[in-house]
Amino acid sequence: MEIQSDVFKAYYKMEAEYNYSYGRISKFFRELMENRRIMGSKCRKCGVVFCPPTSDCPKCWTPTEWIEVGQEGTLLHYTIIHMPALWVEREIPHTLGLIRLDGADTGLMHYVDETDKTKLRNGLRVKAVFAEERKGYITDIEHFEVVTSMRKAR
Amino acid sequence: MNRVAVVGISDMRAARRRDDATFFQLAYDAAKEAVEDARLTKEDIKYCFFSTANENFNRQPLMGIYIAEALGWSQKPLFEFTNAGGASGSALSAAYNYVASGQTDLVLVVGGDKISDADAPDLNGFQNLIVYGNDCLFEVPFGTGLGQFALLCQAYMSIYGITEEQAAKVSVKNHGNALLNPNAQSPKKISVEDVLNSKVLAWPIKFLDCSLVSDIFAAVVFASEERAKELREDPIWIKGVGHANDVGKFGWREVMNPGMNFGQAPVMRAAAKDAYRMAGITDPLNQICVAQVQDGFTWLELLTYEMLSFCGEGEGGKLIDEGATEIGGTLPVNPGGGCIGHGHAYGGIGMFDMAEVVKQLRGEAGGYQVEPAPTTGLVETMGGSGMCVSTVFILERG
Repeated sequence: MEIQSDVFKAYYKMEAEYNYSYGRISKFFRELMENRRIMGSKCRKCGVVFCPPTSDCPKCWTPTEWIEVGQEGTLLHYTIIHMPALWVEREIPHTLGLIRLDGADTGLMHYVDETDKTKLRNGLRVKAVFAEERKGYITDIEHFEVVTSMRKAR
Repeated sequence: MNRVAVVGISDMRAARRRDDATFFQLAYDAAKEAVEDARLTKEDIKYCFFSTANENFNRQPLMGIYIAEALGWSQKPLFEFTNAGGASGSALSAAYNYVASGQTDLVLVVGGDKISDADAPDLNGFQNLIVYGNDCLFEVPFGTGLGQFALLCQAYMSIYGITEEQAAKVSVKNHGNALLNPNAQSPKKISVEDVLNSKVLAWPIKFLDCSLVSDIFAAVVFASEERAKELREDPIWIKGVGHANDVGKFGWREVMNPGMNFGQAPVMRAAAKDAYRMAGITDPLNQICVAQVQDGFTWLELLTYEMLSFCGEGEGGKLIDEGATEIGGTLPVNPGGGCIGHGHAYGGIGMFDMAEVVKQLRGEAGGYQVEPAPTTGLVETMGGSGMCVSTVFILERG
């Protein structure tokens, strides 16, 4: 094929808006927004506690029941982000962690308020800090802060 | 099941930006090359399988319709697959079964992406679109397509003691292999230090740990045994196929795969297990002569060595240290440069990798031909949201 020399390109922007149903996991977002509580969903058959939650256990195809999980948890893994998407207002670099909340079996992705690599390690204890203004998104938790022994005693 | 052969492949020219072609033109060009390589015309083939990473990457939704239009696929079936890097594996797997089952005797599989269309105003635009492929409620708000992979890399490093230096060696190898490949987009001689000193994007992932961003499509043609023997003296036979999915949410993977940890990719292991069983592979490192695997990030190639049982659990770093996967090693991996050095066909990566292995098995790989002439090759694709879809193929010459 002959390559043309008079090629041309143009800018285009596509926008979309949604009203997205939370369905049977609505309670998770309502509790987060209204009561600063973090809910997990426990499979009535296998007992796995999901957080992020699910209305039905994908392992057992069995309905789950709501249980409150801890506001503290364990940092399983982490990454320090230097290149976020355009809608992220959090300053860079910032840390994204995989957090297993006390009482849950799965990992929840969220910000961890510590970017010093020497202070980050798997197994750190972290605690949820809620946003003042909450709107029914996972970011109603502003981030997780590292729990120091002093804070723990308090 | 009937035997199935690869009888046609497209050219694998990779480029960062192809302003001379539309998305649909690239698909057309790759399809035409593969059909001509099979010494066929489009009228000979009834079924077409099309894959693309993510419909967001192109301005035109319902792409399959317009691919059918570009290819003139009227009154014939064309199926579309999308699940990021896993799309092409799904398309190939389905296409294989259409021939193996006797439904048809010739299929065309084409796929790829034109990422440069999606990177307005710059590469960050493309990164934003990748993020939309993550879980929309629990991951997208954090806005990082790399983040999920970076968490996996950190898990793999910390659980198994894999180092950033060992990962960097994959980049050195694959950019270096690309020097031997005239179709490659990023041939260069770099050092481990260059990789370690490159810009941090999502620690531990740095710029030179990443695969390329390309405008490239790839295509293959499969034939039944009877047709394959009519068409070519050197059909390449598909001996094994395995395909698996996993949950998209990274945080759920451990509970869905008991006994595995966050530093593993059980989906690849499952795909490999089925493909190996079908092809009679019991000692992959020694039975497979050449492999094309998804090297989206340097760590991923090391992890893939483990998940495909080229080495034991936690030994991926050791395998690259020993040089086993270099051209001339026990099992050369990505000898043409892979996604890091050659080009990243994204939604068409399976066809791209399969075509590369076919070239090796035909003995047509030129400067990066593996010697002695390989008889058995492996193709692995991986994708979905942070590694949740994988396909493995075993190919054989003669």
